[in-house]
Amino acid sequence: MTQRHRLPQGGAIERDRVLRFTFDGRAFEGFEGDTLASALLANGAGIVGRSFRLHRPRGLLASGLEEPNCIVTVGEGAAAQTNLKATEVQLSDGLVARSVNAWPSARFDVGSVVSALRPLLVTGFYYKTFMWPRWALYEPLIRRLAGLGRASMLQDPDRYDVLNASCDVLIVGGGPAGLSAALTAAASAASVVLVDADRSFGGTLLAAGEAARIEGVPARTWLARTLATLQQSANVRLLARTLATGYYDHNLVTLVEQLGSTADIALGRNAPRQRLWRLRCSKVILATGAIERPLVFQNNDRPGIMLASAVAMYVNRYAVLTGTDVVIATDNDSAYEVAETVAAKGAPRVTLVDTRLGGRAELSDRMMRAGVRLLPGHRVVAAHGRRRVRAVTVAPCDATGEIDAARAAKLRADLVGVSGGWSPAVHLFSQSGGRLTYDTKLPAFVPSTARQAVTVVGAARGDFDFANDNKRTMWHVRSGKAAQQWVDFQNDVTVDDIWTAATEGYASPEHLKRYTTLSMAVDQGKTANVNALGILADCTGRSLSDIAVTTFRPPYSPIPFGVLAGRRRNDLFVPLRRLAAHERHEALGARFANYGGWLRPECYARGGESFERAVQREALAARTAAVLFDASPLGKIEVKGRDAAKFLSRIYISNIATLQPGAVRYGLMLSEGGTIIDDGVVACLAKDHYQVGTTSAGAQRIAAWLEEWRQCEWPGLDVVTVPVTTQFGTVTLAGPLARTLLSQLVTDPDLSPVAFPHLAVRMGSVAGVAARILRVSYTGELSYEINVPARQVASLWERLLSLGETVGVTPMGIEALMLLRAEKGYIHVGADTDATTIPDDIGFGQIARNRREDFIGRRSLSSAEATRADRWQLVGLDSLASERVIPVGAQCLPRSGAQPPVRPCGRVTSSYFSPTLQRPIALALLERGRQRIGEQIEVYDLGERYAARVAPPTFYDPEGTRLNA
Amino acid sequence: MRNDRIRLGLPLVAGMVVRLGASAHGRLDDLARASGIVLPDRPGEVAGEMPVALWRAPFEWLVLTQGRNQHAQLLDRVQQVAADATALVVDYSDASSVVELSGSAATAALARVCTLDFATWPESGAYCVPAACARVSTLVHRLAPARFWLHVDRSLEQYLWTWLQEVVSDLEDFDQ
Repeated sequence: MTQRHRLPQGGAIERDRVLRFTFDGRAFEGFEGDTLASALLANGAGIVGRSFRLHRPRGLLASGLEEPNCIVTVGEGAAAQTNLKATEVQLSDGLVARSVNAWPSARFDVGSVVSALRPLLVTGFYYKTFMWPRWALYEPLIRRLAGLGRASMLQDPDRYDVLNASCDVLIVGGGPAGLSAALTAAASAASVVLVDADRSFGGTLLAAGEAARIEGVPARTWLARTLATLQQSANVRLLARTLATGYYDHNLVTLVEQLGSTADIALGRNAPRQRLWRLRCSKVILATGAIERPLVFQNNDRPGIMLASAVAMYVNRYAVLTGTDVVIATDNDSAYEVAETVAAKGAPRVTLVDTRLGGRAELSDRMMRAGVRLLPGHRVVAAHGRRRVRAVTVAPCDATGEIDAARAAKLRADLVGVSGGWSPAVHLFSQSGGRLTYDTKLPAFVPSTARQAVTVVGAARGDFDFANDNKRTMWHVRSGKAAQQWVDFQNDVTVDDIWTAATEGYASPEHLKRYTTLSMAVDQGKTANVNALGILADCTGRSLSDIAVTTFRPPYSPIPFGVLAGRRRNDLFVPLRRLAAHERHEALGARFANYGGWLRPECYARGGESFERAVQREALAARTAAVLFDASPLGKIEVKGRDAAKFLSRIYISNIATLQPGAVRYGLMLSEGGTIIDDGVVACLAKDHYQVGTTSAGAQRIAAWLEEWRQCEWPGLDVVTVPVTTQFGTVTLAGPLARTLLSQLVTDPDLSPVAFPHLAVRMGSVAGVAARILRVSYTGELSYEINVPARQVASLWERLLSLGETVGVTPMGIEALMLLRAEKGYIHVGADTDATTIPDDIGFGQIARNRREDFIGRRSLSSAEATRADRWQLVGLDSLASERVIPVGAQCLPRSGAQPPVRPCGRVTSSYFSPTLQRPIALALLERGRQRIGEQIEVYDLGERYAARVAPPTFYDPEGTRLNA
Repeated sequence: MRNDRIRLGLPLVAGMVVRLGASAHGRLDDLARASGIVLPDRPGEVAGEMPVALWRAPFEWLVLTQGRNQHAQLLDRVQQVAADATALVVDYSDASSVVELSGSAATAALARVCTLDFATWPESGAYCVPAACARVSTLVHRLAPARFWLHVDRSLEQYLWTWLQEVVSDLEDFDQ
């Protein structure tokens, strides 16, 4: 094809820069300045898409973001972007585009056979059909057929920028109203940002013919002068190719700016493709214009039927005229100029069909001078042709819109421009919380009450520069087949569908939308919404004033997830904390994983050993020799003051006031509901000075929680807190050889069991570095947690490792630690507890009951719920099938052989194969667990059954001999 | 990373957190004498020039020095003032890292990292404001019009640095 519909002159295109592109595998040419849509039209591509449900052939309807039909995938492989509208795709050399929802092409689509199933595919069909013998039989096929474009499953290679900014005045929309507002704002000292989604400012002026004038000068001259003034204003920022996507609270507006020029692509430079602006504005001016509505008549979806304003845009801006027998059908004055333009550009036969009787003489004269045949008081009732419009039937209509079918006549037409009125683009105003009201004169929804600092100007407010005085009484032609009158083109929603929905009781716009899928496609119903509401009003005998519109939500037009993610991808996807000794662990072959926001070694696999093998080896090493474990992420909070002990005694279920300097105590922290929220050890460093330990994942949360209680509930307590988690690095040395090893690096403190017993803290020096050493154990072995300044922890780790080489000191990851503590019956908060677990459930009830003073959660522990006899209690489970590890999450059955569904009486919370005991072990929360020790139960998981015996939770060294060594 | 428009660096800075409980508010003068700084008492305020004190919260400051010896001596003096009071003076040199961002495009880079509106800051002088930078809690500290220190938890330094490297690289390569 050689651009057979391209006019020989005119248009804002660069005819000396030819661009080559393909669409559905066919090669075409266009010019710099074209969109994919205009280039396709120029080349005579009539069928450019297929509708979603019925695969009906569709042509371009519009020229902007309201386009519902030509939805494409651009690019290939990882770079493919899908569900774009051809009208928003700037043409570039080498562009590869494919239609969506069509195979092998939009022109010849195998899927069009679906149309034969139309009687089954009625609105809401999935609630009514494909039921026998069961829906699941049809589901895979229907899912395969559903959706439009296919997203690439490869990682998006593009990069995106995110920018936070502020301004005094944001103006959305670079048409005449927006530009005028910008001139006014620029004259003040205010910082002004003017945005437009198009690559050129001008809005409707870009579609205006040579005769168009504004403020007495030719429109194009006014545009050029205005832009020059704005570009020279230091306080004005012009952002073309920038879409305002959302309007949020406190006048925050999000914009998506297209970056990554074709020059960048040609140079192979990986420039960010788009930029998300988060713009905080003192004031917003919305000059977003209005969207033309199609007329609704039989077969109004045929290729070759488009919005009248789109016809003008393609003719004037892109020099594309796709017909010789042109019919313009309208119910307002705006289309007259379109008819004039088309005739002036050489269309031999132009007819204007106006539903209104008695039009203005001035307009009639203009049509006569332009050689346009005018049919006032007529309406298009049907279009003819299948793959393209060939003709239309027009009939006279009276003042109420009722047609006289007997006097209908057929007109040849290969291009039909329709204008059923204009709907102000109120989306952003509505998102800002503004209310809309229905203006019966327009007729359209217009902005009413604003809730934020926003002003609406121009057509977006319903101010039109043409007469729009259509006393519309008919939203669709009340003759012909309603099932062939299309309202939502993309999702194939017809007038008949709307009537069906209303009849079946889905009479609110929200229900109508969801039942019919109207406005739920890529175009978001921009050309369908108001027509649909008008038809719904007719169906239900209401006026549009009585119907509330559906809620407009961001984005205004679809945007990639990538631009919302910005730089949050790959290594930056989520903030992950790194250990101070990270490189050391890496050098040792550590396998890292995310534990509570920290990147931590899960194991140190050696010589190709599996993860499971490594964990077993490390755990055994802790029992037989010694291990090193990086415990740096454990939370550490310093608490000091005259009331520090009192404060902490209210925080914990244990009485901290009796803790002497140098002693350490394990404690549970409860919520006000009495449930366990964290645990850890408290070390008394000196009189009135403590170090509170928390779980790694709870460090920040508990620090904030302590502050909240201190500041808000107990401000009279004389105490201060400072989190010091990352000031220290912590190396845990554990195992029967721990003391022997450590004594080689420590002269102070005395490490003997009497001088330094279990649950004690000592200050001293390890390898010459000042250290805070806690003798605590999570493994059940003799264990020291050595805290040194974080910058020293890597060298300490190295010293201990090299010193311990001869005795087989092993680096240990977190998975082996979890296994060891399970052997010992120590809980892991969040795994062995949940949001209902109270101290008594895990065997700490007596400590809480012994307290006379109040502490957080104490009152709740005497509630009926907390004192129920059948609570789930922590127990051990010995698997009776050797080697079979019961999966975590397996459910305890109320009786052996019970068939699900049954109410479980417990669940497995931790489960491992114990290398120490050479058998599977598990911890579980079991109903009345402590009363059922020795009982045999059955555990169920995904169809598998496991026999187990209930045991005390401490499998290993229940007397504590090892850790008290 | 270095050019005239934007520079990224990791200066060596030692620091301590000083926090006074209500009963220790009377020690302010003693602290001023020990540190040589009149500690700031309003949000955003920064006092002194190495050592320099940044306001973190009511009666809480981050005090910075450059030089380990100077830091050790200062820490010792200040800890002595706080020893028998409801006050904590904690060495924060290893808990906190500093990322320096400087150059004429420094604020352009910061606009891609945090939502701070620098137009609301005092026109001149040092200033500090807590913010989420690259979703990480940070104290943004302006030393001079085109020079910022971002105080971040050491464990998240790598994350913030990687983010800033990408931002600075884009600013250098694409002048955006």
